[in-house]
Amino acid sequence: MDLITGTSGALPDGLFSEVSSYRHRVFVDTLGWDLDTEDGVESDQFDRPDTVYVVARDDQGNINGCARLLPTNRPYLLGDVFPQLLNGLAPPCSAEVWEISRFAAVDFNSHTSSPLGQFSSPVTVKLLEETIACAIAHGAKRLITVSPIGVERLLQRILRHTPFHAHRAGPPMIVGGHPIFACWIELAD
Amino acid sequence: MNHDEKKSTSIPLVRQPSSSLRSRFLMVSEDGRIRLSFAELISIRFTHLISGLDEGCAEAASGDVSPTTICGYTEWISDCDPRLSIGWDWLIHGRNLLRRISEPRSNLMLQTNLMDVGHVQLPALLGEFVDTLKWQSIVLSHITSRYR
Repeated sequence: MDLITGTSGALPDGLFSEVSSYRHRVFVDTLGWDLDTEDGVESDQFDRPDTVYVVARDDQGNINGCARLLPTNRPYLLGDVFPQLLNGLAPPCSAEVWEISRFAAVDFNSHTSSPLGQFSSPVTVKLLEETIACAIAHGAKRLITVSPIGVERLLQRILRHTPFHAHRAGPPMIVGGHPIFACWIELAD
Repeated sequence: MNHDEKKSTSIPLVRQPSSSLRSRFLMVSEDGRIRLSFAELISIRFTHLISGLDEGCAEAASGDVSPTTICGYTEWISDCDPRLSIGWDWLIHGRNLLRRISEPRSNLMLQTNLMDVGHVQLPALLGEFVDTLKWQSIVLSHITSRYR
């Protein structure tokens, strides 16, 4: 397994395009999210030159995981689109708070994986660990994410044996037929 | 927010609160948590928000074969603002008997003498709270209706 991090301009040639196609397969084709897409590619206004990506590839070079990191002192998904998930608290705006979004660890080359079955895979664990490490390297002391509610139990399980812990920011809400919530990942006590 | 309103879906109070407990103003702390004592928590009414089956269980439940084990999740919110949110996983095995199989997940932090109990001790205390509630029939009714 191979993990690569960087902005779109720093990733190897063609990899960001592959990530966009992978995201389309996961979030649109498989999970049925209602996103604006074109020609089998998924990207939005938060895919900017300064956005940081974490990409996992298998031994054959096929993408089997990805995540997106954004600092909250610039536009980000939760702050701009889903502030209601914060239960009345103002969206964070700090270089020390980063958002994880578009996190997926679906291996389309494995016949045993499913979008929700990914929660227990080794790729998921390594991808999350690398994403957290990448965020910390960029100055993050807290992370926030908007996710399907099943992600919380994943985070509880993975983070149990780490110095980090996760807790929800407010009640889940049904958006586009899917219950989602905002979750904090605390990186420092 | 989607509420199950076909039947009464509020959990009955375990104890009657004193007026001094009800008058305390709850607020969302900077870390996103709502802080309160265990006594304040048990004075708050929770309403069922949504319950669902886990992926593999959902497929089996909609088919002709009835599995012996069904697992899923349930989410509840408080009636007061700011909203307290608590959720947990459950399992049915055999004769429609639901039991909690995970530590509760929540946006609250319990305090003792205005000091946080901490994220390590919190889940067990929330579990004690959840286990005093009569949630099983409400969740079973919701699941039966949702996956018919």
